[in-house]
Amino acid sequence: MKGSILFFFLIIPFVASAQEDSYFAKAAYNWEEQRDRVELPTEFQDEAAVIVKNFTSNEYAYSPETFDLELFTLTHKIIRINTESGINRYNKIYLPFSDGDELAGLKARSISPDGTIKIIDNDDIKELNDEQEEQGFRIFAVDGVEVGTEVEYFYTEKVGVRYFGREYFQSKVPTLKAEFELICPDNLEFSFKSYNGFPEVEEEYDSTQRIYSVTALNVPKLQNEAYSFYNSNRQRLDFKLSYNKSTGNSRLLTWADASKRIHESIYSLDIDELNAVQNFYDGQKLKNKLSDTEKIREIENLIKTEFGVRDLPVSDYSNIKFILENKFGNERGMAKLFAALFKLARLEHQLVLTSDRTSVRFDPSFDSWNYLAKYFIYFPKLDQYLAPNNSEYRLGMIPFQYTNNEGLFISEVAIGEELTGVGELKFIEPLGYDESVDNMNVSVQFSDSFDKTMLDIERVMTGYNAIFIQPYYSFLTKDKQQEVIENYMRLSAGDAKIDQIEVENGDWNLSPLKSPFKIRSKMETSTLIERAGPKYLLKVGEVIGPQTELYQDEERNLPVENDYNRKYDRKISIEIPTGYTVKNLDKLKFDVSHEIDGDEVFNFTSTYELKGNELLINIDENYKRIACSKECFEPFRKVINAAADFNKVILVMEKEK
Amino acid sequence: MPNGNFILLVSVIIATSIKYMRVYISIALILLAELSFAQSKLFKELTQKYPDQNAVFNLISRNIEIEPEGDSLKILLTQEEEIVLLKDQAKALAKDKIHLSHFIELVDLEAKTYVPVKSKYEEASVTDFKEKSEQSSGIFFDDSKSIGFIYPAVEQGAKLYKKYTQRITDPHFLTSFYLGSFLPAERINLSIKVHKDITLGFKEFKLESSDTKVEVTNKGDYKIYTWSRSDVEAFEFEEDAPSLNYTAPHVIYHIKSAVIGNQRRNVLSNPGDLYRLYSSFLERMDKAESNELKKLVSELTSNAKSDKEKAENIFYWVQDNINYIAFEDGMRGFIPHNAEYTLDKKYGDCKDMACITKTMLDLAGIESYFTWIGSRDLPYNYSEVPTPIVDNHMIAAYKSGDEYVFLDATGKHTALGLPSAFIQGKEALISLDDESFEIIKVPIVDKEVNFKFDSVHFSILNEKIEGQGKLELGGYEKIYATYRLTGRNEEASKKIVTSLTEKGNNKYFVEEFGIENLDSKKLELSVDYSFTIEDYFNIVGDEIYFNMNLNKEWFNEQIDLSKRHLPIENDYKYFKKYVSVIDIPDGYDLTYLPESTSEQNEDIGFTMEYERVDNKVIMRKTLYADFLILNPDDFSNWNKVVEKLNEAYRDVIILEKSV
Repeated sequence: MKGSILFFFLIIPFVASAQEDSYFAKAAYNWEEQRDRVELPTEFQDEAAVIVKNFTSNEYAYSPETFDLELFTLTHKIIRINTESGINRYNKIYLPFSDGDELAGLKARSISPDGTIKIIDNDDIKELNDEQEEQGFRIFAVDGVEVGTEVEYFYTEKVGVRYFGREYFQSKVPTLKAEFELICPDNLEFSFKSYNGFPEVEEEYDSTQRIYSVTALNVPKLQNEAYSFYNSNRQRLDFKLSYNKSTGNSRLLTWADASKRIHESIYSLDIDELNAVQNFYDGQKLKNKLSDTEKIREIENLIKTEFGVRDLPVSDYSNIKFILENKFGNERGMAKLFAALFKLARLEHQLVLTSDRTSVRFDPSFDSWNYLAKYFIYFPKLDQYLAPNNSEYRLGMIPFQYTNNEGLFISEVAIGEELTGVGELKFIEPLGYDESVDNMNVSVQFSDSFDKTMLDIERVMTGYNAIFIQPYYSFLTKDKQQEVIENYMRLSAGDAKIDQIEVENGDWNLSPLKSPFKIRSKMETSTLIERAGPKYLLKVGEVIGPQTELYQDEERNLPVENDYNRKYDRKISIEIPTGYTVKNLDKLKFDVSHEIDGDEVFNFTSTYELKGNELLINIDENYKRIACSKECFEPFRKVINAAADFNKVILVMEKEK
Repeated sequence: MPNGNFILLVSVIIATSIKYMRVYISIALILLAELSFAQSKLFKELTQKYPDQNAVFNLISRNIEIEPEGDSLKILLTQEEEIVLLKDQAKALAKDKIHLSHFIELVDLEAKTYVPVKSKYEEASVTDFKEKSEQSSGIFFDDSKSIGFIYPAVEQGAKLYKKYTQRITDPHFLTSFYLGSFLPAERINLSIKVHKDITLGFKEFKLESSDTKVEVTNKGDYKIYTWSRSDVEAFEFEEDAPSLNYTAPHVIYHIKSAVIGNQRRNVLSNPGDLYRLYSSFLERMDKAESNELKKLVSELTSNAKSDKEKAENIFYWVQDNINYIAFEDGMRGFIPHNAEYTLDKKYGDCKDMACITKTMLDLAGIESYFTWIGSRDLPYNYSEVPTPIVDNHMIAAYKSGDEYVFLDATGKHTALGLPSAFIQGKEALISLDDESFEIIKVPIVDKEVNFKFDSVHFSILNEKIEGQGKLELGGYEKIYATYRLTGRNEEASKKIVTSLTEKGNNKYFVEEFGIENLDSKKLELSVDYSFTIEDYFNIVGDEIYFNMNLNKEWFNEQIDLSKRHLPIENDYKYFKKYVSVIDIPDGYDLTYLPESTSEQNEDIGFTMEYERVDNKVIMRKTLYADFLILNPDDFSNWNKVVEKLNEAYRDVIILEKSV
């Protein structure tokens, strides 16, 4: 989110007298010029690389000249490289920066196994810039890297002062020593919160400054695990400025402060903006007799059809007049536009700000504004959300990453003459399992010569199961539409000939909650049949298409977290050719489920019924809970694998004697 | 961010949208269109003509002017493009950019939206242009830049117009022009206006199948060459297709010669001129000499018994110790660093690696040469295209008897004598000395060299399969696997071995395994493994149905002739052999054994043989692909084989309980 609230300045008055020698102690930081290589514990010899040292420092100080609070940061890393892939990963270094950051020092070197030290020449450090994003990278390749080399670099920068921070200390390779330090003048106080097992910060105090620090030894590597989100499980530290004793004893930058400030940044429009949005609104001629929902949908469809989101940190891009003239805005700008229109239409709503739980889960107990990453709009009377910056979503549905997560809900209230924002921390409920379905209804017939099967397939998708296709469908040319649909309908049959495709609700501006994306088609394939002398094998399990599996028995470290709740309801009817019987119907029976606190949360169930020569199979698979503990991974895995096992069911058809 | 993906997806969709097709406009969009403006005539016409498209180029036009200026040449390139947005969905095109590079100076750039108002247009100009470093994939640092901008007030019916003028600062670095684009185009033209003192060279590709109009006219002191097309279909993009250069109509242009200061001088009229340019780059290399390098070479070669062994030791040392990191930094994109520099850094781009290889070979007494070459994405040869566009890579070469040996150390695991897969069949420009060069074709590696043999012997135990296997890989099959396996721990290696030997179903598990010759560049890679597969076969009553094809390569891979239009590219030719041996379980008899079958032609083929030997059933299968490019005319060859193979894959053996 660019052009966000974090671009607002906060005045931190200077009171304590500045002492020259306290002005950025880290400006003189240096590495150990001559040092021995680090002894690597034997258990780490096999790792592609090991982070020997990861030290970050944030030093706040008042400038003796301007008396402004300034921030000086330091990052110092030593990486021991053990393998070829370690070389490829760490012999090229990318250091991000934002426009306005002033690089104070940057040194990099390699220390080879024989102790040779090679210093990177400053001329070899290149800059990549992006004026639109107002950021870039300093990049360099490290000289003399071979297996066993230690790559070491540190850089110091004077950066724009910030009151919220987040540092990660865990990655795909182990870390021997992770260190964090924050130094600030003694009138300021910071708060810290450690996550996912990172140790707590300790505070020291000398007469002029506070020093917060923490060291973690042997932070294990963290690997990707299926049905979990990597970044949100990494060890990390969040921090924020909490007090300025020079101005008082009340906590700074609270959720309440955020609510006021965000309210102001979204709802305070200048006179040009007010006129522009009023004219635009009047021009739309929304009918009064429309219901609230209808009005919201009309406004949403209009904006999401005619306007685009360009999330760049340009102040114009969040000005409503500019947006209405240019037909695009940044994320804050688009939230402003929606909020202004809803206000004009007298639609009661709240602003919701939250984080992407697949990256960082919102922690309501720690008032860091870094969690306020994305804008949504909530309609309390309808109990529905709207995503102002996701043109593919419609009322009732926002990207799943932002649901099943806490959020800051901001309502507008009048205090005397003045309107302001009041915040409340609430849980953003995810959609239910039956709101994201992917249902199939299939009938299977055999050709006379048993060399083919003919299938009639209907597939119905709603919610998140439809969001990957429905909004895009109308953008495609006819050829591409056919290709995409065939991929959805081919299931496991690579040779399938698909025709008579009918698509329902493939238009733009539809909500997959209200208008399911439906595909019907006919298919002919030889893949489902194998021959065994006089018998025929029907690979009925493949009719439901390939299923994900968790067969590998691997150590599980992380709790289970799904993208979204979902349901798969599949009905297969098979016309058994006259004169044949199926010998192994019992293979069709599956009943695997898991309960938490008496509720069945995951299940895969399959039953059958034989009516004359018609075999009816009913498969019901549900995932009703997004997250559960590491301990529930095993039963969850059994349900996932049941679906994959069903893929392998083959019915044997034999001529009746 | 979901929105970013959305935009990306839309651009991909737009980029891959293909043809003229039936009307598909939703009711909502029609309503919107009517509400927002009365349609312009152009918009109406184009909507009728391209009912299925989101946007269309009204014009793509490039004008180049070349004339003498003092003692050099003035080369100006002006490009104009106008896109008409036929649907709201095309809004993603509002974000645009133009590219700049070391040899290009931007003289002028304007961009604006023509916003439809009633049946006319109003202009809204872009005022905000932002520079960005552009990175290309696989290149660590690239000094090329782009200027990005966003068209304002974009809506259905709007026209996006941009025009820019660039000055090309070095006459050797003219480029090429495609008479087509990712969207359909009403008109595309290229015109090159050349002063009479300058001779233009050009080479046309794939124009024969297009309706390109080519004209040459004289106007005073100038000659004007034009290529133009109208009603141009969008480029097609299909999986596994070779680069656009193989199929898209395009023109590569260059300056052959020019009268500068009363004297006609060659610029790029033939491979000799190009060679002189390249040779001048080599002269600009910093010279250095170090004992360290000499010492290293003598260590590596003192025990070697032949030139080949010396070359191997040196080549493998470079592969193992110099890491490939690509740079595109102005003239540095053409001038290698000297060997001493690269030795010190332990990294380099292709030129640096070619240079250190060559220098070390020379020090070992093996005369060797700098060699320029293009990847297979550039289907050009030096005589037709004597410009830097023709190649993009540098390697080293030395002569062994009458044959050149090509050494590309950017490939870490390539054995001496095997070229990198992406330069097979390409012309190499070999620098013999300052004056002379040779152009030689790099061979295409035979399919038998790139082999995969996987044999397994297994038995049935408790509804499970348990067995042993041996996988052997050679040539590029080996190299690709080696990249995946090198430096992996046990757990990661197991996953890779599992995927290399994939069979049965997703309940295939490798249990134990041992890898041999992973570090050897020359010997075939071999993996011994034991495995289990669950839920693979069916026991019904007294019978077991068992498909001996544990791996069904090419299954269902028929080419749909109605949909596939572009050729198919193969990284390399290959040969594969699979053997499966099953022990007939005690108490069972074999009651059905499928017939042996095969189908072969010059492009691909398979054989499948079944045999019973004692209490074992053996199935032997071979597959080969003997092409690098399969043209649409030959798709029937492919399908004939795959269809017969599919049939064969459906047949199973039957084992029946004997009483």
